[in-house]
Amino acid sequence: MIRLIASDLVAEARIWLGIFAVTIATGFVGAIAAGLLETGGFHGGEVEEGLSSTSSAVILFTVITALIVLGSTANLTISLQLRSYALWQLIGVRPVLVAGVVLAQLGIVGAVGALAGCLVAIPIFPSLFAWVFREWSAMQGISLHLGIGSMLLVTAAITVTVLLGGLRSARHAGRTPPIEALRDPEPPRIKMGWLRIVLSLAVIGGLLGLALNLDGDASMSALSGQAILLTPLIAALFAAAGPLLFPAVLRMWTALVPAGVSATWFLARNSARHRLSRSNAAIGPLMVAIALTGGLYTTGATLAAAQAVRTGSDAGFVLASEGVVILLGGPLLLAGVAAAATVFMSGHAREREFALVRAVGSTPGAIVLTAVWEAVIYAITAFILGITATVVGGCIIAGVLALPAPVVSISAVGLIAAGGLILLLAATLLPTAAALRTEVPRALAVE
Amino acid sequence: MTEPLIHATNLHKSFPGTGRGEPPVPVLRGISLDVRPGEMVSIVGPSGSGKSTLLYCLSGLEPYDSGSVVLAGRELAGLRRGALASLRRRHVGFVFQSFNLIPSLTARENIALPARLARQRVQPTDVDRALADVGLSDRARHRPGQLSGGQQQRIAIARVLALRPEIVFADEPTGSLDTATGADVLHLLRASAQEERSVVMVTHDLEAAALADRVLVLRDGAIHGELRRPTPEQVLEAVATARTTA
Repeated sequence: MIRLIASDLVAEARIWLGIFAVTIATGFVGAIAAGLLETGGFHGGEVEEGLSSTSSAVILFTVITALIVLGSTANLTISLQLRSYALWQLIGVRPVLVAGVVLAQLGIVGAVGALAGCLVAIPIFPSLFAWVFREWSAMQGISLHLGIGSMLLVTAAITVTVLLGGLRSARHAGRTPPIEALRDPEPPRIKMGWLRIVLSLAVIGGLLGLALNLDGDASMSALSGQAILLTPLIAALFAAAGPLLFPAVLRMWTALVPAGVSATWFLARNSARHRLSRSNAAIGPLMVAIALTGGLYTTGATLAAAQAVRTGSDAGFVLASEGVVILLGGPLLLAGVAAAATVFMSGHAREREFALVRAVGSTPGAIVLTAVWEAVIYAITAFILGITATVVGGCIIAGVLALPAPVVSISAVGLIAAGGLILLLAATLLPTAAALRTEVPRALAVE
Repeated sequence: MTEPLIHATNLHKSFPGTGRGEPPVPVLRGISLDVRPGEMVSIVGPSGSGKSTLLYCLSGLEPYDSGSVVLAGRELAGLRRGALASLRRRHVGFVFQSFNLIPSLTARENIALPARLARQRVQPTDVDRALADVGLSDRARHRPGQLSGGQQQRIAIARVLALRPEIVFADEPTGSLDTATGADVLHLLRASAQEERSVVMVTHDLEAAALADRVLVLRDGAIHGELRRPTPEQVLEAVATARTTA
């Protein structure tokens, strides 16, 4: 059995590398946040106060992103291998054992990746800390602490999240009759299961509680601490309701461009719709990245506008680059790695599809164009969702502050969306180019 | 006599050796053949005799090392990938053993795909007729995942019928099907070989092979024998002979 697990990990290395990269990134970001908390706890006083307020925001942003990213990537990892798991059943592995082995694989890769990420953070943490807190006199020359206990805690949290994310798919892999999986190796449709419904309701409750508790008469610094959480929570709600929301948004806006415009658009649109009904992983990370960035900048700009109305000056709400890096650096890194990894992981599954389209008369150029369209569709859908979360969050803050409208930071949102698009294009085009090098008969050969 | 739709002369093809410094493995050794309009040709032979490679070389999906293939009046050697794609789009239809359909498209959309790629207006009546011909009018809006293996294969044939290509290449079209469903698929293919359209089919199924006008028996990458309108028993005997003398 160990031999089977090991050989499967090697044979499907492309898929496992994707989740491995995501867990390394999560381990790295988690270790940095843990290091801030541990260092604050060690020194106490002003250092602890400064670091705990920073690290709690970092942790919240990171946790929301990590939950979305790890959950969807873990789910995708298993969904892409249903055919292999069907073959396991055919050679006599019991269904319950299939689920167990799948989870064991996921746990091993998750734990090793998370631990590797923590180890990568050790040499980087001091220089990152020195740069981010260079203007804070209390932080100068203090000793930094990132112990083995914190790293193990981060590793355990990531491993558990990965396992929970893959649990449903692992059970599905064990329950699916092998002949069904071999006949239709496509991942199953994702649904709004009870876990997602409960999660969505909990986030809605938290969101309502937060919005109703915002006090427009409170000091700006007190208000900013709560207001900054609004958009991330809206993004979390969107992600939880992803199986309903994402396909609906994609379907709505892509319907505006007629299918007859070109065959490449037609193929890309249908493929994106189909894939999004199987996994949210292509859109979720980018949507979160856009919403977090847009939310941070829009909240800052809206609070600055309110401050200007009250005092005639908007001083104190300019976001310093180091503040943005510490707050958003981790989540953006996670989202970027996950978005690229997702497309990379799915690339092999597309090889046969591309081969078939070539066989029926498509040119290689048309296939590349189809891949480009698909990346654009994902990026625009993520942009629409991210900007919606940003605007809704901004409107709530503006309403509390009696401003006519929020100051939405379109440039920040646009920048992240453009960066995401470039990343998606790179992650799409490389596997597409590789797929085009495979001869059609080889790609379509019966496995 | 009418011009052949496929005219192959002295076709050679090798695959690289498996190890470093290993010599290339010859797969096709000087094959010459013609396929005329309206003709159905089956290619049979032991495993590894080069059947599928020959089919893919004839259809322009696989490059060959030397020799010549003229498909629908065009010499394939030297054609760029775009020109090959265009040739396939206009003259060729394919039915593979599996993975015949794009998973994200419905049956109807899969049937209309070649026309879309050729930037031709998709005639709904053509698609409807093709669906009716394969008996799957009620499955038009189903995706491949919602269809059985046999239904997927029939949709692939409907795609060929709607496209009206001059040549249909089928690689083990019944390989993944049960006997009854396989028989349905074969009769559809047999019926599609008429007037100007030819069918070239690779198969292990000797009953299926015997439906063809001509059966080519391959052995070690060369044509070992040719049978005209044979019985399944004659095909079996020819393949057995090829196997024992291999």
